[in-house]
Amino acid sequence: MTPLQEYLALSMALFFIGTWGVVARRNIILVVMCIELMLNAINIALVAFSNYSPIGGGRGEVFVFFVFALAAAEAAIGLAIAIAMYRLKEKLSVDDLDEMKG
Amino acid sequence: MKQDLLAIMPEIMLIATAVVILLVDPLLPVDGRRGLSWLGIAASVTAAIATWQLRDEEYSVFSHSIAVDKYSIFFKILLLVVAALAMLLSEKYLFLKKRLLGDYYALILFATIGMMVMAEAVDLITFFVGLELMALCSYLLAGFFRYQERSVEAGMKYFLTGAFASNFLLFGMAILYGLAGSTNYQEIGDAIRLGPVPSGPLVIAIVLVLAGFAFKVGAAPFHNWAPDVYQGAPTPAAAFLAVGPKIAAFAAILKFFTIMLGSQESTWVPLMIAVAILTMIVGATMALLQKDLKRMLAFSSIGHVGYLLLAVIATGSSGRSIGMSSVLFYLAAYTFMNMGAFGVLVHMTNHSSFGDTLDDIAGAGKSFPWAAGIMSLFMLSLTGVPPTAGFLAKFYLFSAVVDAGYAWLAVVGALFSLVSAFFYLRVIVYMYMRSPEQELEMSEDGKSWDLGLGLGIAATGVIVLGILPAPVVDAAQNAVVKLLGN
Repeated sequence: MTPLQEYLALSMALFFIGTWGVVARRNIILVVMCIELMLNAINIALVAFSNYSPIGGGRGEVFVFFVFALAAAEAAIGLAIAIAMYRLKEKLSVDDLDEMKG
Repeated sequence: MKQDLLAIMPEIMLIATAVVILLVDPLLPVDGRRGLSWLGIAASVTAAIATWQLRDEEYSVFSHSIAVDKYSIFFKILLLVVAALAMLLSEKYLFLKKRLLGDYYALILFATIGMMVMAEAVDLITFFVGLELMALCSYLLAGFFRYQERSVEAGMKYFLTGAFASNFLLFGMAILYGLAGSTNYQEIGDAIRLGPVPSGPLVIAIVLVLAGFAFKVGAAPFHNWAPDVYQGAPTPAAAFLAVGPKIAAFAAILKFFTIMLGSQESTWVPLMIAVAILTMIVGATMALLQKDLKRMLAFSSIGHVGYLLLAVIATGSSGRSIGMSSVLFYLAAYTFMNMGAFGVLVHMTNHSSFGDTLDDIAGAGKSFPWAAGIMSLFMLSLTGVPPTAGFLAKFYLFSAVVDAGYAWLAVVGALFSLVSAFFYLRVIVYMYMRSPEQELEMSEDGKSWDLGLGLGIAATGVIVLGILPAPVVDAAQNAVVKLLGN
């Protein structure tokens, strides 16, 4: 059986890739994708913990379903705001969020 | 099962009302929609009464994932007051900006449900669902004026930073689950206390949870979204966003850091001291530089978060009871003074070409005698001048910090509070002692009973909490008794 550490290493790696993407990417759609990637990294950790946990098995899997639901809702709302922004500015880059500063 | 439904009756009422509002809204002409705000307010008041009815018993329902006790009842009633005030402030403003839609009220109600769930959850999964319900609705509220670039930008910034921060919090919670093998607060707390738990992952979890919460309440160094969001969001929505999510997040922070991580004080207290001091520095110094009043209020609320974090630190040591109840009392005072201050801005925007800047508010003492008067009251309260709520809240909070053995932190807090007096009093000086460079164009369309009532409630709250704080202090002290049993 694959040891828990390897799942967690995968989860951490995905989480960092996602974090890096959110920080480094300029296109808002890609940033939203990276946020979803971070959520999937968390899902892997939750399922792995759930599978290896001696007592609380199952809870993690239930948690994952709620994270799925959230990811869907978040994507819907994020893209809705992105569409509103595109209609106004015809641009969709993080750098265009520059109306307010200080 | 009956017990379960009874315990969450207030939430059920709000959900039903929000759904009715969404269904009825498209059928109504624009004028008819003004009644929807009263429907929402009536639902909030009814839900608050229903919550109050549950005060004598303690319910631990839905497989021990929701605890309706005095603690959550205190927070739920406070949150319902916030929701009702936000709806009172909103109606006329939305009407004048031609965005009077039922969606707005439904979003406020849904966000309030999320916050209430955050306050009463004792299970990570339930807490997470409440958190995200609140967060998703807040992004939409910030971007509600979707034909205004600033509002959409506020919504987008709030969404990107908020979703990013939620992920950190969620990862921290996943690690806590992995360490303890349970998602129940109490069971996680027991597992961590009785150990053995590997310390590396535990520290990572604490840092992630702290960072996630710091984002949510707008604590430095994760505060950058707050000024932009409050400036860009519709002013009444900004009032709601500046108060509601903070109350809910602090309700959850207190539970996280006492029930779950109470045995790990030596790890999180130093971190939180650093965050609190940095937050107070940012709040006080940046607010000095702002010309836009909404940005100024945003940095001021960052400063208040710094003081509140000091009290959370105080719960991590011997002075537990007073530290915790001082957070509750401070949040109650903060609700009225902050909602009130934003409400005055809404009032001036409705009645004139007011543009939220310091220059625009010059001479308001003449053109808006009433509004300027209560704005002064709110500013004095935010500064912490007796006999207002802000004074007692700060006094109570700083004495809790001293009791907990952090006298030096209390001194630092008091110093920053002194600095903050400068920018609060500056508003009063501008209103009464400066004459406007450019006269505001006044308009008669802005008359609104709702807004007047909302401002009246906020002003009364500030004065009553400042003069007769005993009932609320007692409620706050009773509320925290059970949490301290751990």
